[in-house]
Amino acid sequence: MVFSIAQLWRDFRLGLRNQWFMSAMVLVSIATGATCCASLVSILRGLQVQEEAIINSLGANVFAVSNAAVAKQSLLDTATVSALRTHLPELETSALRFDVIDANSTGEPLHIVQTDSGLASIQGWRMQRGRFFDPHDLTFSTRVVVVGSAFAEMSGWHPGDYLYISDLAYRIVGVIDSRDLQDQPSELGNLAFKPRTVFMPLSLDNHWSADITRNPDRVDTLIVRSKSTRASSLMAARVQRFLLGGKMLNEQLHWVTPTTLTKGIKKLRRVIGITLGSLATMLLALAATTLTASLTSSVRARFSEIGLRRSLGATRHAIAALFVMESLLISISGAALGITMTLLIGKFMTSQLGFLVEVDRHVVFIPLLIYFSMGVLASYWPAKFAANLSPALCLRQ
Amino acid sequence: MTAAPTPALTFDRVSHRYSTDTTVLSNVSMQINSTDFIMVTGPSGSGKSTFLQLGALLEQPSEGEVYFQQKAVSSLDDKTLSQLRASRVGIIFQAYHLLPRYSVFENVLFGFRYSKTPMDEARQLSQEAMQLATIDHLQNKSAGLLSGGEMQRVAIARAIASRPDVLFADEPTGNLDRRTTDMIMATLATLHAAGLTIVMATHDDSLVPFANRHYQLTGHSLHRSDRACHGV
Ligand SMILES: Nc1ncnc2c1ncn2[C@@H]1O[C@H](COP(=O)(O)OP(=O)(O)OP(=O)(O)O)[C@@H](O)[C@H]1O
Ligand SMILES: [Mg+2]
Repeated sequence: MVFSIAQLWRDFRLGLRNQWFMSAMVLVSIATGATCCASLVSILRGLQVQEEAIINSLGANVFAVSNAAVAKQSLLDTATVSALRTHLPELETSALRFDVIDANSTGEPLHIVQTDSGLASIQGWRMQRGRFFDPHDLTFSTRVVVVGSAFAEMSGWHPGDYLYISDLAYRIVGVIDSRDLQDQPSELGNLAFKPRTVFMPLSLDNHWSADITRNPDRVDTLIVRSKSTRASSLMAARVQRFLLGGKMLNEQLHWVTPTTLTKGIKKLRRVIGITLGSLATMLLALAATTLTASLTSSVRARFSEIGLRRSLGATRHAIAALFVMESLLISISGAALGITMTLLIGKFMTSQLGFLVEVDRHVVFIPLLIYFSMGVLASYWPAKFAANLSPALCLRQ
Repeated sequence: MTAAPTPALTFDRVSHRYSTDTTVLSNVSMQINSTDFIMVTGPSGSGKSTFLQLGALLEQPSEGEVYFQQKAVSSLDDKTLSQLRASRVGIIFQAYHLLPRYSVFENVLFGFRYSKTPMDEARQLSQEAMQLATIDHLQNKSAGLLSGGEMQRVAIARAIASRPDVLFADEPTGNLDRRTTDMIMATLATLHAAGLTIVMATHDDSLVPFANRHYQLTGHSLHRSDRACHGV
């Protein structure tokens, strides 16, 4: 009789029928372990995706440094920024100054961000209409502004329209695609721009401010972009050294780098990885032990059948294969069950609870691979035991 | 017609023990030719089953050498031995060793599980074997539900279905009534006449005349008996 899948399946069923209850219990224990394993993968993947999104929100290879909230006065200023530019010309830098005007008529505050022409390109903003302000606007302190498309639409503004701030007219020269401004994670602090924000040249004096004691040259935040990811941390260190070489203390600066941004999420990943990871490992070990125990008892229950097979021409390998196959079929179906559970739970969690879990091929293949290997390992001793049994001894049962 | 018979199985100073103090066979030498129908008798526990298992390649002797179709068994690897078992050897076990949840037909067909016989042919041969063992009317019945005699006949059918060269029969009539015993023995005689080498163990002395040679197992050794056997 030639080799066939049907024949293998019949062999498997023959083994299963001997102890279907035991096999069902083992299946449940494997499915539980695989659910834990798959959930771990999907949660960790979810956090990884979230982490990538946060890093991307800052911009690729971008970091920012601000005056720390504890600093009594602004330590960054336009002079420092120009000095930095001369010192590290390979970096793209952009200085930002933030202000808020409590609008009396609408009741909603208006956020003002004064910056230079490089910000749009560092942040990778797409202009929906018009342009971002250019070096010319900065040099001549022209009263121009740029707004987000959502704000423009809400207010019925078009490029060329004028907008009044404290009775002075500002010409709207461009509209930024609001999708680039929206949904910024809170980790970005004041770099998560509010919808009601206008961007204008840094060189304009803040005539709207009543506080005349404030330094007109102050800079609140510096955004820096370097050419590559590796260079980014190196550059952050260089910028830090430059700034600290001057008059500042590190406590007076607040850094926003990919590392600081993802600190929280990284910690969460680590905690989940350790707790759920050790739980998954224990469940894996438990599943492996029960599977080995059930296979061993299956071998014992099938002495007569093993002897018969050997007498009919089964090699040692064929006998071993019998139990390896049985082990793999149980472990893979258990894993499949667990993965299906995880997919259902994951679907529920994302749709009902808004909890971000990532359900991708990793969630399927990682547990499958782990439990496949477990199946091979768990069957090693029972299969070896069965293969080395003396046929004559088996036939005496 | 006096063509030299080819040796099917040779025992050369074979001793076998299961542990240091349980010697079962001691210094057994004999030759079985392909034309032989050998009968081995002896009291219970004398080692008949052990003798058959050594011949049927299921066990290696502690000392000496067994030659199967002139090949020294100890020199064969697991794969070759398995192939010989699958294609050349048929065994009727004293304890049947049927698969109780399989039907009679499936049990007989299972005899081909490790042979290279194509499926269609295996089915055909299984049907023929069931007819010979007169169990074809039971073919769809679960083997676990059969009577002892019926199980015995399923075991016989499974052993002969693959048309082995040598058939080892361990008490093949142990559970059968006189009438069925005679029928089975007649079947074995027919198969023998058709060229099958048979080595049979029994404690039913009345069956001895079916064989052409008779051995008695006593005191760990095999003695050629002078009792009347029919010639070949
Ligand atoms: N695996 C084994 N380990 C230890 N002793 C064994 C083993 N197999 C057989 N024996 C012993 O070897 C002796 C011969 O056993 P065997 O089954 O060959 O006898 P037998 O002649 O076939 O007996 P019966 O007529 O009852 O079937 C017995 O005493 C038995 O207890
Ligand atoms: Mg016996």
